Amino acid sequence: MTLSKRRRLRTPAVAVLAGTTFAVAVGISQGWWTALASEAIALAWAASLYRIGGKDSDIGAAVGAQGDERQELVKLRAARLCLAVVLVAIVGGCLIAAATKNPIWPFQAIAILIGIAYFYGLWLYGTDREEADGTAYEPEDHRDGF
Amino acid sequence: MRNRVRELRAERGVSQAELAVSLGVSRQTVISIENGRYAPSLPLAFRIARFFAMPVEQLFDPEEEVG
Repeated sequence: MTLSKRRRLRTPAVAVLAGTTFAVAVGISQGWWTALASEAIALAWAASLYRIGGKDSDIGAAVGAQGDERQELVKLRAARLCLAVVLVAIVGGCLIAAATKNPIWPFQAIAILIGIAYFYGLWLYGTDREEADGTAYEPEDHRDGF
Repeated sequence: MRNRVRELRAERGVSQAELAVSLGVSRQTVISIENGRYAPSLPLAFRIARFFAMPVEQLFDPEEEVG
């Protein structure tokens, strides 16, 4: 199997894994027929992701996990938009839960996780950890006392 | 950022798909660069310059923004 095919399989594989985990959870709580239906939806979703991943487009490159530098940038921007929507959904869900006297801790937990991940990302990808070397720039012709 | 990629590619009779394969990027990225919607990274800019056998500063003009 070629590298590009393996990459193309990555997103559908994650979809199958997540869908199967969800189907098991559904099976435990609501019975195995519901779980089977849930698994079928997950498989269909994975199959469409595989098909989209083979297309010659930015979406195809993103789903097929084989984009170039511009497509990586497009993916980052899309992820940023996605995160903004998730944050709005968390705030909305939290407000609705509070208004209907339902527990709000799941929303708080997700918000805290996102916050931690954000600051971890700043620490991980930023350059604040790197110390300045303490030397000033000195043009070559000014060195050695000249 | 304005550039001469489209002009040079046309001069050499190279298609966007062929240029994309040579540069190791997608066809969509070549289109975006040609339209000035995407400013390539330094490594990619140098690959483009090497492909057209000319200095990078003759290919890209940072002073002019595409409107």
